[in-house]
Amino acid sequence: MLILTRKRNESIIINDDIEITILESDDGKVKLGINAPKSVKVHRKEVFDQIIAENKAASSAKVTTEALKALIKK
Amino acid sequence: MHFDTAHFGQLEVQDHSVITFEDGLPGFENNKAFVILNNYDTDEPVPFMWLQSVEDTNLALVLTIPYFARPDYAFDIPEEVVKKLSANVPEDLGVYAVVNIQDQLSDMTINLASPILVSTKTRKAIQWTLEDNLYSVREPYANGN
Repeated sequence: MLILTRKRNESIIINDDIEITILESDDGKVKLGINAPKSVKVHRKEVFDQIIAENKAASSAKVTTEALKALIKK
Repeated sequence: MHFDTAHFGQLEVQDHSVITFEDGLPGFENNKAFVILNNYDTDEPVPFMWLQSVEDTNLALVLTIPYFARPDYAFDIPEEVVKKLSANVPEDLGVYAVVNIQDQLSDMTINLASPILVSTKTRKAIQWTLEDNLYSVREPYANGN
């Protein structure tokens, strides 16, 4: 992990086109401003982890096509 | 091209049926080539299909067309994402939600927070997380239906 120390209003630039600025830093919380192309995905880590977990759970679902078909035929 | 599937045995598909996730799927970043299968022999529209990995037989996820469960499902997609998929206009994108089924089929949930978008023209796909926080990764499918 690359570790850098920044003060309020200082930034880092990733990959030439992603800029992260420390806007505020108080009370155990840090407010970050992120400037990146709109096609770059930015996630709070816990949200990203949730999506990964959800995909993994969905991929291990033990369900057959028959069962799904039966669900529709009501 | 021939490949093995989790639920339909060995299949042959045209190369142009293969959809490509350039970034893979969250949790499966190395799996980029998939096909969407719905081997249903019924005349009724069935809103469920399988997203089957071409590279890994055992990787298959159930997808649904979210508008069946939630007719008012709506979201904005940044233009840049549409361009990344090389689609011309947002209407060229197919929208799917990953379905999670654990114990009871009737308790299934769908991920409306990160829909899968597929360009009907280029066959490029992405699982895009919506910015608004309006939807959950586990929306109950049966919302009084």
